[in-house]
Amino acid sequence: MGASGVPTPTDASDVSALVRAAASGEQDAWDALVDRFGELIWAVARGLGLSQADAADVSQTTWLRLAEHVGRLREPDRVGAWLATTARNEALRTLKRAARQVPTGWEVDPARNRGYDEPPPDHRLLEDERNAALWQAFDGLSGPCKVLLRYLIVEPPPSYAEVSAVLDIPTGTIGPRRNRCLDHLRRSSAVCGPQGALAP
Amino acid sequence: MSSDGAVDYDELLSRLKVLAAALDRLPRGVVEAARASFSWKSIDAELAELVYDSVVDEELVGARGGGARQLTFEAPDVTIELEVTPGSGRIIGQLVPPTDADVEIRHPEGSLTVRSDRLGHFRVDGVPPGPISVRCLSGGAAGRAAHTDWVVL
Repeated sequence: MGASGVPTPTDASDVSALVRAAASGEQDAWDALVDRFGELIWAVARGLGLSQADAADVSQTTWLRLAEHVGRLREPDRVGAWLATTARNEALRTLKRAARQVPTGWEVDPARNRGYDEPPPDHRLLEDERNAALWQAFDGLSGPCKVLLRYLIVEPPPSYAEVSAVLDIPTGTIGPRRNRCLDHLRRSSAVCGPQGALAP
Repeated sequence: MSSDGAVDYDELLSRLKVLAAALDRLPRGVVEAARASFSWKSIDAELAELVYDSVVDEELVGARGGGARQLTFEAPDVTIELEVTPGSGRIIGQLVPPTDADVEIRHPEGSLTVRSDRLGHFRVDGVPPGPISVRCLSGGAAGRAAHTDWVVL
């Protein structure tokens, strides 16, 4: 463990201390929690297929919920799992809401882009064919593999306990599932690219 | 991690990680919103938890097409029921037991305040899309202030 892409354990006592400090009103501790878990929450929402605007709402809702619950968590050391699970539930709620609604035009409402002064994604990497094929294959994944792999490339890496909580699978199965999903991805990207994503 | 296969797995994940960092990075505005969320931390009120959401809890076969969404939040002293028509920016609400109270619709950029009538009924227009929480400042002798879980309308 500890190789790139493989989750390393979170220091649970550090996380507990941050939760306690945030509960007593310390913004710095809160910001540290955002730095630690912000990417994981984003990955949860994006892995389930939400647009950037919807993922932004899910992220903010998740943090607002934590602000209400930070002093009431039963297991402060598991705040990462709590956040990931909350984000997943909110993302699923968003998907269900979208499925039963006619389009409202919110996606193009200026209020949806609340001042996110964001540089566009850097597409230069995709000029490399192998990268393009790999990303296309990853983008085309659906279901559990997309979600699992999206978590496993989060930086900083989530703990297996966090991945396990949000996917509701035993920690012992994460490694084998990861490898099966990567096999699947490798096959798909080999089909996408003229030379295959893993061509030397 | 000695077999060639395992090494390939790690390499593949590393490459995906680099691509995601360039192509699906966490937007700075999302980080700023997450940090700012801390200012909504409140300690003086009961939390009314979401106990019913028609979007999730009701299988509306054949009801696709934008019917009103019903949400129910429960705190020890008060139940807050909301009805939201998607895309309308309007919330119709009911406090149970019925109370006339100041009702504040909180959203990340601010809040809107209305007063419920004696039947506990209230209506708010112009609610922005995105997460909201409803805060009920009950003037009743027993009633404490309560606010709902945050939810995206």
